[in-house]
Amino acid sequence: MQDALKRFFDGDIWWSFKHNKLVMIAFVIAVLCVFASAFAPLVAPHNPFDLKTLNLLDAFTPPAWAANGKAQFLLGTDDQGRDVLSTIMHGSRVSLLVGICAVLLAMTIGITLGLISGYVGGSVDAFIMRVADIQLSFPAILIALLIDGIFKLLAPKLSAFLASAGLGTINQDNVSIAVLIFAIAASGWVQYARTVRGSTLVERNKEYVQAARVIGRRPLSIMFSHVLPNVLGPVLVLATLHVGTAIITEATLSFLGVGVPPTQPSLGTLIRIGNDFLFSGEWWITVFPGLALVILVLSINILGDWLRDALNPKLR
Amino acid sequence: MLAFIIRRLLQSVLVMLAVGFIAFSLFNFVGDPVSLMLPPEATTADREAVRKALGLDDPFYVQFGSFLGNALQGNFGISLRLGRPVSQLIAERLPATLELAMTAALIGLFVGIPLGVYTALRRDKWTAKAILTTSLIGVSLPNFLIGIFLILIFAVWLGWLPSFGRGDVTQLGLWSTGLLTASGIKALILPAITLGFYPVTLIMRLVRSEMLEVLRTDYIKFARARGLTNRSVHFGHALKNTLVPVMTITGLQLGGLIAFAIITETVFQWPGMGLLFIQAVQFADIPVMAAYLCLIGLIFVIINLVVDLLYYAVDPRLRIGGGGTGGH
Repeated sequence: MQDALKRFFDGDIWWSFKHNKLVMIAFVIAVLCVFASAFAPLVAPHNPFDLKTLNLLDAFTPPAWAANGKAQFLLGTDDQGRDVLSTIMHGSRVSLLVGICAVLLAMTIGITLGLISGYVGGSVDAFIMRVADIQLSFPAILIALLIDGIFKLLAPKLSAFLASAGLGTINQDNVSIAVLIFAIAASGWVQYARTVRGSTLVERNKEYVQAARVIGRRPLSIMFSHVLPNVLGPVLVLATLHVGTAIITEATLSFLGVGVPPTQPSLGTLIRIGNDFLFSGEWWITVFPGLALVILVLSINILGDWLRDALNPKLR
Repeated sequence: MLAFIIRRLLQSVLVMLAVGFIAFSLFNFVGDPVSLMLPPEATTADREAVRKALGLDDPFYVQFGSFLGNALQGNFGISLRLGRPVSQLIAERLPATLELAMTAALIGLFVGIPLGVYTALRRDKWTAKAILTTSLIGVSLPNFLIGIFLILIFAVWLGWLPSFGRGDVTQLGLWSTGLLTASGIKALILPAITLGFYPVTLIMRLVRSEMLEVLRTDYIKFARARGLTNRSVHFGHALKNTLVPVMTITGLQLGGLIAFAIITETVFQWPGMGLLFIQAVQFADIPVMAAYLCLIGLIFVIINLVVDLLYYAVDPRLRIGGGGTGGH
């Protein structure tokens, strides 16, 4: 363990991290964001979903530094008197959760299909890649919107079916979050599949794979325990950058009113709600969640960009 | 050549069939057409009669065939939310979306290309670096946030420009245009900038990297050696050679612009197809969803087909391999 740590701190990645101020700042901000959202119930100054502590008299309080601002509401309050800073913390929790889960799911789908496509080849490969080509010619947001829309329409039918079969009821809100995660994942698997397929095509002819084949390992186990570890590098870079995109997609869908349910507002939902008060002068309700979204995504993108360069020996 | 075109056409038809199938499934499996058409108190016998009259007891392929036939004639039924024929609704909304997307594409070209050239030629100046950094922030900024910030600054705080709607429109036959009135043009500015932001950054980065590449080549050195002016080298030789990929990307982006217009139209309440679609999604207005899906699929397939064929015409390398692996 100590050996591995020493190797890491002597290695190129740590060196390039140490010598890049922008990346260090982005890293600190990203860690702070993740921390603040993961522990939102503990860290947030107020609990925005506890109706007992809400006071309508506090509604529309401007940020603390503005005239009429109150010190206990640093970034002001919204139309129901909820502290904007606390709703942002709880909101980024939902945003990050949906974003990361969607990326993990997209990775799983993409890696599996890419491995199969590259390793098996033939008509299976042709079919998967054709589907990927076609999907790639449409914007991801459109595909996510479509899948989300269709499954939302199907959800009531499904739960009615489950209820009639005596399997109990499912929580509608959880279903729509799951649908959202699936929609974002389904719109983003193609890149993983293409990358993994490309590297698999190279790896499958190497000697270690042939050796594994000769000693009689089955194709599935060769794919996942031999080829997979050797094609993961580029996938990790893709995944980091994809988290940013996935968070933006989630925010966009929620902004359009088809994303997460209103009981669990994400950053996109907060921006949509605040948008209604833009014209009456309460700009902080929408601007601060918006800034939080930009800072979160920007820091993740900077980290992803840096990781791509740091892991690419050609650019050194 | 002919084989390539035929293969490409066949592929496009297959994609359209797939899109049509999704739209058809929307109609028949997600929504129940019979209960959509009948009042809730209808009897089972009524339902059976309607089912028969609609041909819903026909085999699957007959139903799909008649759906395709109707779709080809632009007949998608009646909007559940607005109670009017879907084709009529879309025809009304199409001009607004196309005008917005075209303006955004023009902004992308006429702002993106000069910025790209500038950042390539003056790559060490701080202004060029500032422009590049701004574009990186722009990529991390979701489209709808740009719109909200623009509204906040130019409509709420400064009060210069309207923040929603199309202004006064003029009816030219079937086409309604907002480009002929002052209020229409004013209303177009903010949405077009919002939608054009991404193409600007994209085209700028593309032109910059292509320019940097071309400026290193031998024929540019030769042109300089011949004593041509900087201007003639940069614009006559270098820029001209970067324009082919720029045209391709802009062409491919046009479809994306029409799709991304959904977001811009929602922010600015722009009465286009995108707003119609998102309202249809919220109200489960299946005929409108299906029609929009088919239309946008058609637009994308046509754009991709044209770009592929143009590539084939422009790039002789593709002709040698007998079409190779298709267009992508």
